[in-house]
Amino acid sequence: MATTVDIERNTVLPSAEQVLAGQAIPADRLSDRRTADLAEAARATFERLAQPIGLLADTTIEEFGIIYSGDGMNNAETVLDEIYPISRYLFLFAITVGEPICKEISALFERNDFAAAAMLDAAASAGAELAVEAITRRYENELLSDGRLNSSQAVLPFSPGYCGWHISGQKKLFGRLKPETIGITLSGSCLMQPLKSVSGVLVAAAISDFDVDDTYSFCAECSNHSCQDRYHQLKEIRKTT
Amino acid sequence: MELLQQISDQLEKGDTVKVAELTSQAIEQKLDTRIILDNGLIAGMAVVGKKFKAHDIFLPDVLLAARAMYAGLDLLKPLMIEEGIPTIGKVVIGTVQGDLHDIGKNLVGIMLKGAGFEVIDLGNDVTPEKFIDTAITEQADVIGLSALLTTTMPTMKKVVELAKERGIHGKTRIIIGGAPLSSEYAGDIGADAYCFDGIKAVECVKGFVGIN
Ligand code: B12
Repeated sequence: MATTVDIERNTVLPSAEQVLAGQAIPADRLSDRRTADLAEAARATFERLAQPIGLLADTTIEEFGIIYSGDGMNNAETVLDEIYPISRYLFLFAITVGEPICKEISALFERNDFAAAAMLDAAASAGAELAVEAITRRYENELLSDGRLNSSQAVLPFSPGYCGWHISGQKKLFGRLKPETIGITLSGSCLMQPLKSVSGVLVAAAISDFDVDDTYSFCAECSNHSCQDRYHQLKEIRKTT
Repeated sequence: MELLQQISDQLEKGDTVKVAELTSQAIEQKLDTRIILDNGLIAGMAVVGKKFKAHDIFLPDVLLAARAMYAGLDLLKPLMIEEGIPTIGKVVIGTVQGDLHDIGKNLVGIMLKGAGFEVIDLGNDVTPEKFIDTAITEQADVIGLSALLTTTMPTMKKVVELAKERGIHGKTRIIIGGAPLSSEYAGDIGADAYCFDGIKAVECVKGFVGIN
């Protein structure tokens, strides 16, 4: 059974620094009045137009194995291949920040308001990532509070198109999750509409199991190696709580 | 000539209103259209491009300057048509069929227009036929293809193949851009170049039309 998850707008409202980061602008540039005003305007528009919503469905290791194999186009060895078979719980997910914000980005471009358009685009992208973060943490807290997870375990999201999971994997994921119910559709080329949407799986497992190598063949093309940051952040958060 | 310097300076600051005012003044003073364009608007954008490349300014500054440039350009356009002034080159740009990502393509189009090229933006989800037909009818110098997903990359190859079929391959250059692409991929499919961003695209297209 899939469950719709309401996501509060203010939990996915990106900070001005996050909006700038998406455009490779250093945070100290907020001292420039014009840049700061543009970032604030983008945040205000995001707050007005974002319609964040998510969908979650639990799945089993067996069922996920079939979904994960997708069209058989994954890399020979992948990160999830190692983690999902030893995971505690698996939830398929999809989130979106909605169509109105995507339409506004296009409208701004059409009005030659390029700087505002690029700011809003970055805000919406950051907002989509925060929506993933929001449902991940919410489920993790739920699992922790009812004792299904202990303090050495945690939840992390993984998406098709990353870390060896071929983007065509979205077809089987959509077939099972049916994100159309929250207004997300998938095109033949695996493009989700609205554009600012993310799909994937939430994996609940031992924190140590998320300590993956970044030496897979596809890691060479990865620009940020965020897998390492995610693992270290989890360790840090647990240390301080 | 001071007026042209002022246009360039105000454009650099991204002041749309002042650039429009000053461009109108230059037109009223009957300054040569080509000179207003080259020594005022394009000169200003060139400074902006250099500062952006050197990380002295950032994307919003470039985009505000571009908006100011467009305001000036809108005033010059009717004169350019009337006087038959050619642009330095024509670029047909779009996001390939199956892909709706357009922010990157838009930014590249803005940079190319800022450098003085005529840009024909076909939008997103563009078929190979549309790219090639437009390039032929418009006698474009360059076709710019954008794709953000690995699943839409193969369409780029189709565009190159169709360009060969229709006899424009080699004459009309094809450049590609987007996150999952690389120079190797450009080489593999027979495209002329891969460009990481708008700055690179401007350098590359200038090279193709023989401008340093
Ligand atoms: C922000 C982001 C998102 C945002 C928004 C996406 C968007 N674009 O609107 C969110 C979080 C919603 C998202 C979602 C997804 N994303 Co995403 N996303 C990114 C990210 C980090 C940046 C994209 C971006 O907006 N860049 C800013 C713009 C300005 O840059 P740009 O479009 O690349 O354009 C520049 C250059 O490429 C170049 N250029 C572009 N076009 C052209 C054309 C020409 C002619 C030239 C010369 C140059 C040129 O110049 C531009 C200006 O500098 C990229 C990774 C990356 N490093 O790029 C992944 C990336 C594009 N996403 C990826 C994936 C997989 C996804 C998802 C499928 C994940 C999932 N399963 O949910 C979804 C798909 C969403 C959908 N609608 O279908 C993959 C795609 C890889 C693949 N295998 O196809 C990437 C590459 C990440 C990765 N794995 O490395 N994503």
